[in-house]
Amino acid sequence: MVANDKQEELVQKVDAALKEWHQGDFVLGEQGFVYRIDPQLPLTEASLDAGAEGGELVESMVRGFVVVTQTCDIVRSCSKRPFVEVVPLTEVDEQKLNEIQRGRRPQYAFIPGCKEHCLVADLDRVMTVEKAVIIGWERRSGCQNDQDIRLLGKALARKRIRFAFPDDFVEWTKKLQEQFQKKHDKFSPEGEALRSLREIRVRAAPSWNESEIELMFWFIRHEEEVQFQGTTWDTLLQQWLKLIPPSGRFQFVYGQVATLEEITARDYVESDPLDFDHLSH
Amino acid sequence: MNALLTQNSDHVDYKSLSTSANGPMRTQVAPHYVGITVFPASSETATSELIYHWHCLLRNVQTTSGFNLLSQTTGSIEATRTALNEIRKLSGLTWEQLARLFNVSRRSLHFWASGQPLSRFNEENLNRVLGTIRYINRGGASINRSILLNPIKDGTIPFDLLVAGRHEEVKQLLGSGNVPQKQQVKPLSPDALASRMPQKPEELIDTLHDPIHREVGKSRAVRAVRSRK
Repeated sequence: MVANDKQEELVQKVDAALKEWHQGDFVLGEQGFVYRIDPQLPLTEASLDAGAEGGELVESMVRGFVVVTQTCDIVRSCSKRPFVEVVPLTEVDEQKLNEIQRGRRPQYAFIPGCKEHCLVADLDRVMTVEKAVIIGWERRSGCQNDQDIRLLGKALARKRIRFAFPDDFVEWTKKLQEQFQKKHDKFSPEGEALRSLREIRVRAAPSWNESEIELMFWFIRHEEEVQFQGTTWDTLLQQWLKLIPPSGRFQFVYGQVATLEEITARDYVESDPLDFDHLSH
Repeated sequence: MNALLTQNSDHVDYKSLSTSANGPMRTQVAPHYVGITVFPASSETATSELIYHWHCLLRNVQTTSGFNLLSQTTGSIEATRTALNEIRKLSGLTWEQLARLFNVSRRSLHFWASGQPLSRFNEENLNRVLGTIRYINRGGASINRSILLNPIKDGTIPFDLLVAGRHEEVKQLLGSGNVPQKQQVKPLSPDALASRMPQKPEELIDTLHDPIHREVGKSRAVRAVRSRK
């Protein structure tokens, strides 16, 4: 009974402390990041040393942690949800900080509250801790507003939920990828057009698993941008489609430049975002 | 020249082309478009190629009154493009059905919808179809599609009448939809819109994967305590 009372008291204490925490909040100061190794197959210096001591776990010191668990799960009672996920903070120079802030390095997430310390979240490393660990940390606010929270959410999602396009699709779209890579930063009509695309989506029907697939590419543009140095969207579309002629399983290939207003909700949900980052690596 | 040009400075941004690095060489058009038709006088059976050249010619013309035909032409193409997309969204018809309706390939339709100039005939036909679809609109794509494709009492299919260009008959058979105007919703703030923007393709292309030095402070082996539960 006494044990139960004590446990209940601890749960209340942890729950009350965790009510203050949000996704993106962080703690600064030396913290131990623990990860498992195979002592027989050490990949890093740290695991080599730890393996020599016969250990299977390594604790390496980091500059702090960011909580990446969603806020709704952080504030749920620890009696039902006792864990949170944290990722280590790592120091970067200002140029890299800027690149991470612009989303050019998907391995890292920009945490607005850490900017002044030139620290970013290293998404390649994640550690699970019991919520009671958090109550000993001095909470610092990572995200100031809805926009910051959404950006962090996007960085976390991008790291984990990218659609894996089939290999033959990746191979088949190589010329298009190369063209976009070559042109996107050029001062040319095509470069201008590529920079003003909102996103590119592709729909595969009946599904990506079939032996014969109809593809529809949606080049979603912003409403105001109609043409570039006299070159219109339909001309660019023709050029792009020439780079992906019907081949292999992809026997029917269509494409359209459209604004968000013009595509239907069905068009949107039935298509996948074409993630060039993922395709090319 | 049979040209009907509608000028409305409230709706069309008459920006001329600029070559400054800051002001990109884009022609921008405000979200509300003015319906404009530019027809060559010489031929009633103008091909889309001819019309395209006509548009190219107009692109290089600036009148002495400062009236920029380039923007107007662009506006006309935008209006046509918007019309086709509206037909598709309102009618609920598939691309294949729309291609049959206009007697062109599906691929051509996608180019029209992406801004390719249309022949005079197709432009007129497009606007007639839009007028009919708007008239019979019951308020939703699936119901509109259903009334267009289901046979009525004598077995006539309204869609077949549309294909045959018998728009008035379609209107008489199906009647007016009398759909109330859609409630205008308040636009999101620029910040809210920006936070919902996906990562732009140009940023995805530019992604960097080279490793940044990984800060590994002093490390030590720790012993795991096995849980029996």
